[in-house]
Amino acid sequence: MNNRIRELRLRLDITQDELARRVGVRRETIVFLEKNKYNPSLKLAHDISRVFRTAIEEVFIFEEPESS
Amino acid sequence: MKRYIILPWLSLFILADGLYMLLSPMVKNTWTDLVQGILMSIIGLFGLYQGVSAGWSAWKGDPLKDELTRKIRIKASSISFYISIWVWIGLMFAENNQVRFHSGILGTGLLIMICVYIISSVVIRIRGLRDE
Repeated sequence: MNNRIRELRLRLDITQDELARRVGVRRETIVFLEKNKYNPSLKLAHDISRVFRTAIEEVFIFEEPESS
Repeated sequence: MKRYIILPWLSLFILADGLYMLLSPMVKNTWTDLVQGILMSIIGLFGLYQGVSAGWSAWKGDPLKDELTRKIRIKASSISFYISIWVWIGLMFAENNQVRFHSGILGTGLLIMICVYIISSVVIRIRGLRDE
């Protein structure tokens, strides 16, 4: 799963700290998410998409696993 | 607020104890003392870092625990439990060439368990938690 958190955050001109505070997590979590090192829970994904006022699938891009 | 003061102080005592075991001429420097001294110093340093960063986060008003920190803790605990059981058996076997248990092994095993926890939480932070 990839995401557009960094892009949308910069578009809204908010810092990682501010986004973290708005969704109630530590800044480290936002750093992990932006680096694609962590897949968030459904609740956190929902909270983040609410901050960006967009649908979850606009923020998080689900990829089909490659079939062998 | 008390816990942010207690953890760094406790860690300082553990660090001082570990360094004493390593450096003091009064202590018989057997390999068990050396290993325990090194492990205690690592644990003391990690505890000090955790305590200071938790205090800093509290001062900034950040939440102390969120879903990422909770998941990292759960993953690191399960890895350390799994690995340290094998290390424990290895230690017992290496010392006596047969599986026997005594208090020295208990202490070293516990210290190793905490060290594996520290190492695995650092590795998880570097590699990330994508597949959870």
